[in-house]
Amino acid sequence: MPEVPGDALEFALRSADALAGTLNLRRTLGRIVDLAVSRFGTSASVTLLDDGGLRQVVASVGQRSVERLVSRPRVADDLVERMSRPSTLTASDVGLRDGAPLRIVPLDVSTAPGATRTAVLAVLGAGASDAELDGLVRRSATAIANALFYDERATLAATLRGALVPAPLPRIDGVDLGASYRPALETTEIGGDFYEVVPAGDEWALSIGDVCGKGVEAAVLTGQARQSLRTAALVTDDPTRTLGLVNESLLATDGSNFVTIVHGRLRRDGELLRVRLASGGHPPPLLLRHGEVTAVPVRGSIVGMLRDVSFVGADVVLAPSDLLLMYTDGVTEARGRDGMLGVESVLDVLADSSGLVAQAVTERVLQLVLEHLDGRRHDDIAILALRSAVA
Amino acid sequence: MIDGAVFDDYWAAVAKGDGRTAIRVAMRQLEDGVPLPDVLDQLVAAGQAEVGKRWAANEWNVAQEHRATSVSEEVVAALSAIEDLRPDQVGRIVVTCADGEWHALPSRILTASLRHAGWDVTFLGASVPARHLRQLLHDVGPEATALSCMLPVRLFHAREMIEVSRDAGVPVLIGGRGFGPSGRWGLTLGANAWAPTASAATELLAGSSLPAFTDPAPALSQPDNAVDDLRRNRDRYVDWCMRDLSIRRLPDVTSYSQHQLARTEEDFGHIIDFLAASLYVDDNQLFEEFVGWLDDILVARGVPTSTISVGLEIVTGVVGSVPRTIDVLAAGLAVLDSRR
Repeated sequence: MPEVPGDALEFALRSADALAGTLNLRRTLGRIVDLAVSRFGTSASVTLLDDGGLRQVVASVGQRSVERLVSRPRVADDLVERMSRPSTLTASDVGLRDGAPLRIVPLDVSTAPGATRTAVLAVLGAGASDAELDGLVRRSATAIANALFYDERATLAATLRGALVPAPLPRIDGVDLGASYRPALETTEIGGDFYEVVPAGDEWALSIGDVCGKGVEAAVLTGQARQSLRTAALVTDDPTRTLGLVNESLLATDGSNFVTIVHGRLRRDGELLRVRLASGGHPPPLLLRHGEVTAVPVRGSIVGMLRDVSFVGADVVLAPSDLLLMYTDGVTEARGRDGMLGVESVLDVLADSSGLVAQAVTERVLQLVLEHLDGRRHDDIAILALRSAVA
Repeated sequence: MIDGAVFDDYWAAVAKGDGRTAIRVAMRQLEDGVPLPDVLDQLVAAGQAEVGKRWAANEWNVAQEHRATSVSEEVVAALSAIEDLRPDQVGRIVVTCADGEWHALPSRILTASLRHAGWDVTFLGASVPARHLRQLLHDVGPEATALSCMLPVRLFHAREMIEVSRDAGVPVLIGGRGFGPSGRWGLTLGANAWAPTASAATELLAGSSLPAFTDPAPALSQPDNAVDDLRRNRDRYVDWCMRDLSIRRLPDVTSYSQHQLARTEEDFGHIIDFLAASLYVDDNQLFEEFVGWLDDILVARGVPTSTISVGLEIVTGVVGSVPRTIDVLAAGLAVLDSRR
């Protein structure tokens, strides 16, 4: 067995550890360059051609960090062609200055048959041996392959998540909106609770809901419920009728699971906000007025499981100092050391929240819940608040 | 430097809960050419520090404190909204608070300051579980994690965040009072660098003092099981302290209302939490500062000065079996003695 110098062994271990830490593609590319510069020469680069185009990371000695990722979606055809034959590449192709010795080594990063990915590691400088460089090349190739694989999965997950997690609240002139959302810990960012405020004709449609169950399956029904709500809200401006239509629509697709919803229409009237509300089996919205909190008298059946349903709506007029709070039962049913949080604590916090902007109020309620939980597992939590922003 | 009269105008608006005026004062500074990070540090952050002082001195109640904080949040949101913040190719940063940390305003201020400097910032907000950060670091691949901690009792969770970030090779920049003088406690827990203000953090990130990649955080070794014991048995110890308190039948305690008893129970919890944090970073100063702060607060609220000494004695009786623990509690009592 050939003798391995101590510092070579140390480098091999260090690079293996360093590359094992991250699954992120740009950090992986950066780290390879960082390692190469630390051991082999004055500058180094990784050039990767994948489905996203050409990405290149370059660094040289004395530079604080890796130069930022360069994405070049349009690459000269001949470079694409030459990427597969590294011996034809020049220093400028791989982002380095001319100099000797220049070593350009292919990295085998193909993760699936037929994938059009090639990568090269280029090093400018005379440090360390070719054998050592080979070692780094092997580890780098595996790390990039893993990162590419993760990147695909992460992109897919992010796309799904993007369709299911609450979108940022719109900015509505004269309306102050706030929301807080915390999915159950065991899933990542997707859950069965949702809220949204979307335009509906010359009004706004607002909804908060809770799908029975958790995780990906609940999230799928969440997506259907949100879609049905938006469509139904275009057909009718009566919130109770909207819930009726959503019920029919969900029954037609599945009917084995249900959702609870508070849905409403919001219209600005001078300094007042007029809100028409309906509830389908959901905790009633809370109205804060002059330091007193009352429940808005809406009620109705759960949505999506029963043929015979009825919904009772209510209208609320919000004066400038009033606030309307809607929440899912993840709030009141949060289990702490001494049992469930209950609605009383929420009423107390709300009564003490006059004058706060809507976002500050939803965050106070979320804080109340998470402190009560004190690290315990919980259901999804969604909180939505609105008030008039006309001072 | 923003002039004192401007701060006074700003503060008057914050104190009244008048968001519009506060925003107007801050905006005028921007229009006059004061850089955004300075407006954030010298008006918003400075105002918020004042809010904390008013509350501690019992001049303000919790509702007033929340209202003022809400104004600060409004101002940050308004200042952030006026700029067209297209990130340059400066790099990516994740800004986050540790689990249980609810003071999100400092990290919001940092977020605005970094975006202004061209960073692509992912802001995670208040109270973030470490596993959310782990996932996010793989997805985002930032150059650094900026971690905020305002209360030393969150140092345990802060350590989890530091571990998660450094495991992914991402260096950690810390800020906030909870990390101690010059960030000392956070640096003990493996943070790579500390910055005193949002502007300083932004400058530090633009320079070369933070490594591009970092190794996993060095293991923390505890000389004894004092911290584990306190954290594992915390609730039980609080119960024992309450029982001991009722046995002693102190004249003012026997007349406590239900609400006052709940408060006392909370205070015992705080003493044990800060004690554990002090032992965790092996620095008596953490506990000493806490005792001084608690004394200020209780005195401002008319609680008899002997109450806290008695409290510390009770806690010593309940948890004080490890020499280090006894030592820290004695240091706390010494703070009280030096004040009487």
